[in-house]
Amino acid sequence: MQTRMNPMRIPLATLMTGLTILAACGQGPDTEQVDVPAAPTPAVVDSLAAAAPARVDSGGNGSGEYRPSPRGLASDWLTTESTALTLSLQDIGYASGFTLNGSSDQATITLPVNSGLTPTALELRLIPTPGMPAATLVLMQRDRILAQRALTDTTSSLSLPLQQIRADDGRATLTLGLMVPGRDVCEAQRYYRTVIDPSSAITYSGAPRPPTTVNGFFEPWLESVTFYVADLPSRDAAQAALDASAFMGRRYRGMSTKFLIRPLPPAGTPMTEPGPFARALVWSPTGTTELLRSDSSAGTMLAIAARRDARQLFTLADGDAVVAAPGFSGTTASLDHNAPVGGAGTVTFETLGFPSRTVEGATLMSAAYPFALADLGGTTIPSALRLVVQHSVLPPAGNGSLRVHLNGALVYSRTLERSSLDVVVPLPSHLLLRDNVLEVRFQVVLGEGACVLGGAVFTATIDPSSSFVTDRANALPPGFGRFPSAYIPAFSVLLDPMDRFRVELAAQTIGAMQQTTRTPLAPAVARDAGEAVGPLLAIGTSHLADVLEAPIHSDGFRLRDRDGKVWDEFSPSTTYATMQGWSAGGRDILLLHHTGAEGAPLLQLLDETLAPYGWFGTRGDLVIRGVDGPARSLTLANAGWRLEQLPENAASWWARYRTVLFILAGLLIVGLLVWFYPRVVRRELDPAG
Amino acid sequence: MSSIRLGEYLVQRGLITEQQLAVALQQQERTGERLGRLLLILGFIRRLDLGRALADLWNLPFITITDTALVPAVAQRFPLDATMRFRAVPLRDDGTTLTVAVADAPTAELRETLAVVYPGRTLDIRVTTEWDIDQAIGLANRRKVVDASIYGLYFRDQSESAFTVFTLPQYVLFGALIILVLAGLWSAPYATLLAINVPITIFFLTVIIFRTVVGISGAASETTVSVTADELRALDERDLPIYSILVPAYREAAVLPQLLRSLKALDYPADKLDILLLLEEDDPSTLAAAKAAAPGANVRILVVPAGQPQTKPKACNVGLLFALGEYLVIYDAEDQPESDQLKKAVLAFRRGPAELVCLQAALNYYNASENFLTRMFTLEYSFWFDYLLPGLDKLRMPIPLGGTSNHFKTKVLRDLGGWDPFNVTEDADLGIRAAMHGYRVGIVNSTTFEEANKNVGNWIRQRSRWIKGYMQTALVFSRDPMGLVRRAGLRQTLGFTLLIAGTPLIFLLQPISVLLTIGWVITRTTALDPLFPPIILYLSLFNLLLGNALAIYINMFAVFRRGLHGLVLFSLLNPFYWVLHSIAAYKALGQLFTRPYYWEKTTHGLTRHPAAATH
Repeated sequence: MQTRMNPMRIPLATLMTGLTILAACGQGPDTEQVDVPAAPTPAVVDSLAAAAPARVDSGGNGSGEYRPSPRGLASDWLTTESTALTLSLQDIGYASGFTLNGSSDQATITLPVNSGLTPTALELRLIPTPGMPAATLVLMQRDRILAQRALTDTTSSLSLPLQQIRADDGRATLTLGLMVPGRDVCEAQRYYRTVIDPSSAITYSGAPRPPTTVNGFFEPWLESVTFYVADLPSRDAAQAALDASAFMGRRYRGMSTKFLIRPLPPAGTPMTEPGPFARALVWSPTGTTELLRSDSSAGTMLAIAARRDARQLFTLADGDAVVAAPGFSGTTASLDHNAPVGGAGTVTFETLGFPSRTVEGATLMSAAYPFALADLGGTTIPSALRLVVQHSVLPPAGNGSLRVHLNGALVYSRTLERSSLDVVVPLPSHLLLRDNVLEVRFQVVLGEGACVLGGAVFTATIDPSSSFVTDRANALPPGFGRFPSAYIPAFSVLLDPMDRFRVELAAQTIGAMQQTTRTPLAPAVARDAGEAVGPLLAIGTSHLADVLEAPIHSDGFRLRDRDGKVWDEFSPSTTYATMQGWSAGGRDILLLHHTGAEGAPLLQLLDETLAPYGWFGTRGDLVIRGVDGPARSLTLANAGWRLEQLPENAASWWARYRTVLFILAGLLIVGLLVWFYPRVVRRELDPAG
Repeated sequence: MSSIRLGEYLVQRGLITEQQLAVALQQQERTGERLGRLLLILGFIRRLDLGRALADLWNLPFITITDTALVPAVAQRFPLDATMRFRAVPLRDDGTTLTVAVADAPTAELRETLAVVYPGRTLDIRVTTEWDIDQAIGLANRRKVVDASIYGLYFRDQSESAFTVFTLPQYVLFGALIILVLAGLWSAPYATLLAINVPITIFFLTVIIFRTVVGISGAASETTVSVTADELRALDERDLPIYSILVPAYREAAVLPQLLRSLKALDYPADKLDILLLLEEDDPSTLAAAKAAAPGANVRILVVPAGQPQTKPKACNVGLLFALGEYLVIYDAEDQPESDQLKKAVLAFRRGPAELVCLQAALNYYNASENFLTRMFTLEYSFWFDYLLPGLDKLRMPIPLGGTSNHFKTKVLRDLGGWDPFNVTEDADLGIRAAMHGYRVGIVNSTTFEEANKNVGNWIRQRSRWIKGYMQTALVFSRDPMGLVRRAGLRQTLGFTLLIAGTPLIFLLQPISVLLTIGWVITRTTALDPLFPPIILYLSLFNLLLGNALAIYINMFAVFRRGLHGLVLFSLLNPFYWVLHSIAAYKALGQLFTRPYYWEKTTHGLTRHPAAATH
C-alpha cells in the first residue's frame, strides 16, 4: 500500500517543524528491548526449499533466466603458464604488512597456493630501523629453515626462495624470523622495528589447473568471482547471489578478490568464460548444478540450478565439499554446520580463530586480538574477559605487569606473580565498538645484567581457552555500529524492486559486512515488506523509505545542526541517495535508498562509503550523497540535528507527477486521434453537396 | 435560313442605326468577333431584340426561358458537358417532340447528339439569349453543377483531392510519431529532445540554403516569358482568342465598382472578354451591387449554388464550367492588373512550350506605404514574386501559384480537374499538381496590384488560410512519396518538400527556437546544454544569425529591384513580421483538424490609400 504522505496537504507551518532525529532513530544504549519476529534462518529457508525440491523458482518473475553456453578460453591457461602469477601481501589479506620488533621476533604468513601453481619466491620490500645492526632474516616452515639472508639498516628488498615449501589444502604457512645481534636486547626491543611492506610480493610458477569438480571451483586465491543474473532475477537467484556474496566475504576475507554482479548476456549469446584466476557463477534454473563446459572451455563457469544447492554451497562451512548434488563430492549434508554462536555464555579465543599465542621478550610484549561484536554472536556484547596465561617466572630482581587494553584504553592491570594467571577482566560496555582490538600487554623488567644476548627472556602464552563472557543485551553501538551484529543469526533483505541493480547493491553491502566478522551472515530475501521480518537490509526508492518510516524519507529536506546552521539541503526535485541505520520498535534496519528514477547516486554512495576500508570505514548513522557527490557521513542520533521538510515546488511537482501527466497526455492524444479520425481521415461525402 | 445578313436585318427592323452598324463592322474588322456579340457589347442592341432577330433569320421560333418553360428532369438528361459545348438546353419532352433552346445556330452535331440522348423525338428548336441559356443551365443542372464544382477532382482522382485530410497511413504515422515522442520524453527526455533537435537544426539549415539558392537564382534570372512593348504593338487583335476572366467575389460589394473599372481598363478587345462574376447564393448584397453596376454584355453574373465547402475554388470550378475562353485568368475582386496583362499572357502562351499550362503574373500592392503591415507584406511579395518564383522556375522546381492573376489554358485546366475546392490554397495546390502531371508554370512580366492587408486580425486570418492550404497540399502530395519521386523526379520533390511542407514547419518551429534562445540568453541556463552538442550549437547559431541575416538581405534586394527604396530598411524588421506568421501557423494547424476546409475570408476594401480608387 502506498503510504507516501502527500506533501500538498502539509500546512506550510508544519513543513518547517523540526524533527528530532533521536526520536526517529530511537537508538541508544538504553533502548528498551522489544520482541520482534526474527528473520528466517538459513536452516528454515532450506527446510522450506527442501520441502519443495522440484520447485525451480519460488520468488520473483525471473524473466530472462536461462543457461548460457560457454565460449572457452582454454588457450589463456597456456599463456598463464608462461607468465607467472605475482601477488602482493596486500592481495592475500595482509593489508598492513608486518612489523618485526626488537632483536628477535617472528611473523607468520599463510600463502594461498592454487592447484598447479608453486610459489617460487618471496620478494620482500623492507623498511629497517636506521642504525640497526646487521641482522639475519630467516624463512622457516614448521621446523625447517628454508632460507637465511643478511639484513642491514639500508636493505630495502630481499628475495627469498620458496620452492621448498609445502602446501596443504591450498595453503602454505611460513614463518619469518628476525634476529638482531645487539648489545642490549632490552634496548633493541624498545627501538628496533623492521617493517615488511604490504607491497612485498610472492611469485608463482606452473600452470593453473582447471577445476574438474565443484569442490575445486573456488581456488585459494581468485582475482574475481562474477555472478551473472537476469535483469529481473527470480527470488531464488537473488538469494543465491546474496549467499554467494557472504561466502566470498568469508572465504576470501581480507583478500583483493572482487565479487561482482553482472547481467546475463542476451539469450543465445555465448558467454566467454573467465580466465584462470576468475570464476563465473550463473543462476540458471534449468538443468542441474554443474560446471559448464564446452570443447574449449576450462570449467570456470558454474551453473547453479537450485536454491538448495546455492544454500549448501555458500552457507555451509565446507559447503563445496559436502553439498549433495550431482558433481559434488558429498552425498549427504547437515544443514546446521554454520549455526552461529550466540546467546549468553562464553566465546573462547579458539572459537574466534585465535590459537595459542606466545610472546617472548625482555621489555614490552603484546598480543592483539581484533574481534567484531558480530563474532560473538549477534546482539550480545562481552561483559568480561577471562584471561588464562601461563608465563615464565620472573628473575628474583625482576618485576612485571599485565595490562589489558580495549580499543586503546586500559581496562585492567595487575602485577605478574608466580607463573600463571587466570583473571576475569570487566569490559566497560561504553568502550565497545563494532570492530574492536583487545590487546594483552606484558611489561617486564628482568633486572641487572639480564638484557644481554643469551640472557633471561620473559615468555608468556595466552591460552586459547581464554574467553569473552557474553551477555545478551541490546546495547549494541548506535547507527552503523549495530551492523552486522544486529543481523546475526539471520536477517531479511527487502529489495524494492527486486532487480539486478539492487541485488548488486545488497551483495556489495553484505560482502563488505562479512569482511568484518567470522560469523556467517545469513540473508533471507523477502518477497515484500510484510514478509521481511526481523533485522532488515532494505534497498529501494523513496517509496520504501516512506514505508519503513526512515529518519530521512521525504523527497526534499533541509538539515540543520543545533545552532541552526544549514548543513545540507535537497529540494524535492533533487535526486539524492542515503544509507541510514536505525532501530525502531526493537528492529534494526539498514536502508539504502534513492529518490528520483536514477539509482546511480546510490551506487556511487556505496562505492565511496566502502572505499577504501570496506564496512570497517563506516561511521555514524547516515551517509548522504547528491548526484554530484561526495558521500558525507553524519551522526544524527543525539546530535541535535533537525530535519525540515521542504515544500513542494514546480520541479518536484513535475518529478512526482510526470509519469501520471505523461499517461494523461498519452490518453488525451489517443482520445484526440480517435475523435479526429472521422473528421480528417474517414470523411463521408455530404449528400447535400 | 434567311440569306439576309444580320446587320442589314437589324437596320431594316430599326433596331440599330447605320452608324452603329458601321462602328460595329469596323470593330469586327479589327477583332474578328461575331457581329451580334459586338453589338451587344457596344450596347447598341438589347439581348431580347438580338435573340428575336436571330430567330427570324434562322427561321426558328424565339423563346424566353422561365420556370414554367423548363422541365428540369428533361434538361438533366442532357449531359452537362454537351449542354456547355452546344449552349443548348432541352426544355420539354412530351414523348414525341423535344423542345430545345439554343443561343447559337443549331448544328448537325447538336441534332445528332440530341437524337442519341432523346431517341425518336421530333426536334422543336427555339432560339433564346445567351443569358437565358446560362440561367437555364443553372436552374436545371444545379445538382450537377454543384457536384462537378465540389467533387469533380475527387471523383476524377481521390489521391489528388484534399477531401481526405489525412490518409490512414499518414494518420497512423502521425499518431505513432506523437506517441513515440511522448514515450521518449518520459523515458529519456534529453535524448529524445536531442533526437528532435538534430533533424530540426538540419532542416532549418537545409531550408536556409534552399531559399538562398533559389533566391539567388531568381535574382540572376529574368522572368521566364518576357513580352516587350514592341511585341504587344505588333499583335493583330483579330488573332486574339476569347479570354475568360473569373472573378470570384464574396461580400465584396464595396470593391465591385473598382473591379469593373479595372477590368474595363484592360487592353484587350472587350468583345473577346468573357468575364464571369462568380457570386454566392447567400450574398445578395454583392449580387445587387453587380446588377446595379450594369456591367457590359461581356460580363456574365453566375450565382454559385450553395453547398459546402463554400470556397473560392468551388466558385472557380463553376466558372470553369461556364467559361468560353481559350485562356482563362482569375482575378480577385480588389485586383488591379496591369492593362496589357492579358495580351502579354496570350503572347507568352503562344511563344512558350506546349507544356506551359499556366502563367503567373507578379502580384504587388498599391497601398504598400499605408502602415507597417502593408510595408512588410510588400517586402514579402517582392521577394516571393521577383526572386523566389523566378528562382524556382529557373531551377525547374514546382511553382505554387498565387491566388490571383493565374492565366491558364482552359482545356488543360479542365483536364487537370480544375481547382480543389477542399484545399484552401487551391492555387498552390494546382501549381504543384500541374508540375506533377508534367506541365510547367511560368512567370509573365506583368504585375497585378492588390490591396495589402492593413489590419492585423485580417492579415492573420488570411495567412492562416494560406498556411493551412500549404499543409493540405503537403499532405496530399506526400501520400505516396515514392510515387511522387517517380512521377515528378527528385528535384521537383525536393523543391515541393522544402517549399510547401517546409514553410508551415518553419513557422511552427521558429517561435520555439526563438523562445529557447531568448530564455537561454536571459537565464544563462545550462539545462539546454545537452540538447546542443558543439556541432548542433554551431549549426543553430549559424541558422539563427546568418540564416536570418541572409533572409533579410535578399529581402532588401527584392524591394531594391522594384525601386521601393523606402522599404529597404523595413527589411530589418522582418523578425517581428515572422512572429505574425507563426501565430497564423498555429491557428492554421488547429484549423487543419477542426475546420480543414473553412475559408478564412479576407476582408478587402479596408484601405484608404488613394491608389485604391485611381488604379
